[in-house]
Amino acid sequence: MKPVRRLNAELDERLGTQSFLTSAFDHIFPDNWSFMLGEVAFYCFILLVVTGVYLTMFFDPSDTQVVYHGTYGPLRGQSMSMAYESTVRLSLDVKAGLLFRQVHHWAADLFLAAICLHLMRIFFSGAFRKPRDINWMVGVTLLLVSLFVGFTGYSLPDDLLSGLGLRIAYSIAESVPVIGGWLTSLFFGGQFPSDQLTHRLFIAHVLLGPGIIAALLAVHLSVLWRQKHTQFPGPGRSDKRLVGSQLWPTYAARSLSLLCAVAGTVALLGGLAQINPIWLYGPYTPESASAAAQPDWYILWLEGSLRLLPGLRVHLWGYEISEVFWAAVFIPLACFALMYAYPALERWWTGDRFSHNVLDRPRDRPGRTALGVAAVTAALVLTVAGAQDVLAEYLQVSQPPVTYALRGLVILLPALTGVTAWKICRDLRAPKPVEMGEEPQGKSAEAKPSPWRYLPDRARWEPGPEAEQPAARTGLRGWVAAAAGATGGLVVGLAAGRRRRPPPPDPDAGTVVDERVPEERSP
Amino acid sequence: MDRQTGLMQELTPKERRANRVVLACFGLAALAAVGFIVVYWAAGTDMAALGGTVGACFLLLAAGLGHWSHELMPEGPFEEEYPTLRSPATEEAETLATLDRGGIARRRALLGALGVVGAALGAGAVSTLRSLGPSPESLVHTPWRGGRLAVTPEGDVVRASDVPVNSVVSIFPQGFTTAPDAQALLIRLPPGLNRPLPGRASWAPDGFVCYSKVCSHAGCPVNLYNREKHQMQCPCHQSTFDVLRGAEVLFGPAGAPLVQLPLAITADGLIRSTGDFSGPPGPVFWHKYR
Amino acid sequence: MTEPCDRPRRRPLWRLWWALPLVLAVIGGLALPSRSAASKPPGGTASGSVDPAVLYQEHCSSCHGVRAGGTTRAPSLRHVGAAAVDFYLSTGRMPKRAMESHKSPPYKPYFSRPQINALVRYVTRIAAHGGPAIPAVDPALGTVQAGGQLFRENCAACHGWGGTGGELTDRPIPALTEATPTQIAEAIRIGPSEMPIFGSDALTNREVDAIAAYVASMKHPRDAGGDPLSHLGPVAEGTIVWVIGIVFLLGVIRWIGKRA
Repeated sequence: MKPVRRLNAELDERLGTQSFLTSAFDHIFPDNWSFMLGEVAFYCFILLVVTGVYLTMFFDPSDTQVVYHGTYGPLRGQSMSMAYESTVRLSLDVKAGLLFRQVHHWAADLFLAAICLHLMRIFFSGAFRKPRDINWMVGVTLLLVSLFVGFTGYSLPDDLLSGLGLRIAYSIAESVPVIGGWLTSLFFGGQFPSDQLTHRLFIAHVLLGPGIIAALLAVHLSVLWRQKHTQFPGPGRSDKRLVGSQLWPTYAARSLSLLCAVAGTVALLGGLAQINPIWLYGPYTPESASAAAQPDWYILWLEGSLRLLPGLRVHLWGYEISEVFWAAVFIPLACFALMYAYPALERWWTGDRFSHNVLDRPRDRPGRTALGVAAVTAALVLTVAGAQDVLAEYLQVSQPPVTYALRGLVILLPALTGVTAWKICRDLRAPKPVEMGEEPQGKSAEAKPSPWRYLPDRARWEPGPEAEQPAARTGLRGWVAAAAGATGGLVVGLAAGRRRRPPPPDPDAGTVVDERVPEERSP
Repeated sequence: MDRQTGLMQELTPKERRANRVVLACFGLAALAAVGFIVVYWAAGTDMAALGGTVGACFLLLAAGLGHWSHELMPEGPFEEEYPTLRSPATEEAETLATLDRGGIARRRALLGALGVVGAALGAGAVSTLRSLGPSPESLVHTPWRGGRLAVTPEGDVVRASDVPVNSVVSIFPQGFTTAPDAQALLIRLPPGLNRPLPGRASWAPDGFVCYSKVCSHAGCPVNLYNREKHQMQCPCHQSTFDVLRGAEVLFGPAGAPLVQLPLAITADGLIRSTGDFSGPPGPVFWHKYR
Repeated sequence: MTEPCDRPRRRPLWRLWWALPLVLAVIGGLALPSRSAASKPPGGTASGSVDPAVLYQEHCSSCHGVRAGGTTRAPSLRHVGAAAVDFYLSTGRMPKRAMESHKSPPYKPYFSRPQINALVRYVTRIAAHGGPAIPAVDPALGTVQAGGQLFRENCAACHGWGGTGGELTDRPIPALTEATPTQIAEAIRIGPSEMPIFGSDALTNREVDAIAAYVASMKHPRDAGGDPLSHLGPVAEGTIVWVIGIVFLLGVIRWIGKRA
């Protein structure tokens, strides 16, 4: 302890840190497991920065063409950009270079997955309500910037798959009315593929994007620190009183443990599972294309939107607005605008202008839960639609039925799951409203009372004297479970059935499997 | 240790066991890290060993730290008050009064003038964006001109007699084999099948028909050709175009047909174009139809 | 004073027992070499006869006509070229058989090599002359990198960047990993099924050599990064992130943290 004592004294002499340290160490964090999803994302970001710095030592963000003379035979003599060449060299010629590259890429995919789960947790538990609506908006911005950083990142090596994605991104920017042509000319640096492209992507990916994310994360965590974390209802907990574990040592140890678990996961994935083998894909040229050229998973929803929306053009004053604008600009921006506005919209709809520190159980807000489930389902269907050619190939069905089915599903399935979620919530929660909770704070004390009642300030499993146990109607849940089980069984059965041994061919059968065009010929 | 308050007391047997488990985890983690160093210096190419050792080290570290926090750290429960964020009205009034020191908030003209300067500077900063790239007018025309010979990407001229029926050739205008918007697909259709659009009857001599390879949806090269159905298909979003009917869209999200290149066969039997495409190739942008 | 919490929280390390078999399974699954492609249906054993007239009479004439002029069931073989006959026979597409799935070509050939050679000579003599001859391919003469560039510009949109196949609107496109260089060259010159023909202007013989060299190199792609996840690309990678990465981390945070 002696060096620690010494260090503490020196710091205190210069910064006066004692009171801050004590209050910081005593800061309470609730322990619920679902609160750690945001941390998973945060630690993925840290790993991305660490591995990313290493990668910048080797990557050359230039579109200048060179001829490859390295160790990978199939590309020797091939003309390619320096960006591609440096990435191939890093992957195949630098000790542990490929490990860093793969860890970086797996961590990026995991980063966005964790952000999405964290977003869902915040939404379904109502953590975005006042006073945390500003943090919600910071969070949605973080999601947007992270999507952008992820896309620019995997587009940097200038390989066949990401080059196609860049071409599509170029067309998306081009499709914006009035300013589209200028947007692409100015930000891409000219007609596709400009010789400025990789350099600009690099600056966006390495400097602008992470800088914005780091700044926003600082805001995000500072607001969290100031407002303290929300908590689920439970004994001893209320809008006034937070129960959990101390930052030091318990929460710090758990958090550090999570950092190590995330690092271990991406290290294992990076060492064992190949990701983005760009030397196999080959360098991008504007005349090259490949079947099954999907973007990374978190862009698949955009790809699905592009594939599903039919080619309807709008004509305005002699100009045309293409379907790409609606599919890839208007609808996504509208969805994000809705996400930004959601806390305000919910405040307006429910009339609830109070501050909340206690979370909702999803079942207690059936409308919000149904909306969230429907949105998640729509995003899932669009993600699947982004790989609809792979799906059609896998199911051995032609592409048009799959596409038309997905077009229908993207409307119907969210409606179905939303309604089902709503009914399940209604089934699960208490039938009678219980007494009001804490005093509301602030100027809104005179606002009209919300149609929603507060949860009781008592243990969840101790129902109050006047509340009755809800008679749980298991009918609907039972049917849903049975349907899911039957569907699952059907899918498993079909998959298993397709793998059975083929019947031995009958040489004399002469069965015609596919129909050739019959022609009349004289022998 | 008292799990509620965190005060150290005699170690219970349970805590002794937890101590040993955490030590074991950390010890194994250290070994795994050493393993990584050995693998790296030995060859550094065995990805599974590199990732496995680092991954094992971190996972063991995670397990040790987690177990430590569960068994040997104060459990609580601890509590504290949520801060009351809304300040009293007097403080709010004080803040507003402080903001207005020296009557700043009331000097509308000065503040307005400051705003004007800010807007002008902002406009100046935005104007410098113009230097980032050329004007978008260059997207409308391609290097194809009347009389330009069709050549393969290697620069060899295309001879009509060397192109069998039902075959395809990727072509560029002579001298412009690196212009991405000029790439086109020359198809020799069986005689009598082509249904040219009005005004394009002379564009497809001898069954030779040519369409831009730049997809009208999002610009990917339309590299798939189905010779039995005479359809071009784009690999990106599966837009399918009917070559027999002016490359009209049969399936997929494209909203317009591919643009067609008018062809002629020279006296020497070479393929040449008689003009630029029927429209700007590729996807729509605002300036396209001026 | 706080009320005591719910029952004392027990999260002993052994409760993470499920993590060890999961991690081992993941490592085992990814570290083991991937199995080869699904086995093709066993080829039928034709009789050992090398008499092409007899073979043609028994296996081809009922659909293609006695003199290969075609019937309502199969097209004429007039002027299709020796390359076409050799291609369809050596890839096992002909004679038609009941197949396990229509994604598998090239199948194991029905006839032996001497039988195929004899049939090719016979059918060429009676009908197929006048079309493309069997091309002479030498992958050693073509450079793999040139072949790769040509493949990406002409072939990959249908067959995939690695020659693993794809799908037209309603027909599967076969993988090329089992194809011989001669079969590849034949397919380029004759355009089987929906595939277009690439004439000598579109792809010179040297370019065909290069493409064959590239496809040969793709039979054993250099998977330097570990398990290739069936070369499916970002779809497989995204699936692994969710099914393995996120599921594992969810388990970890359930262990580290409390239930609600």
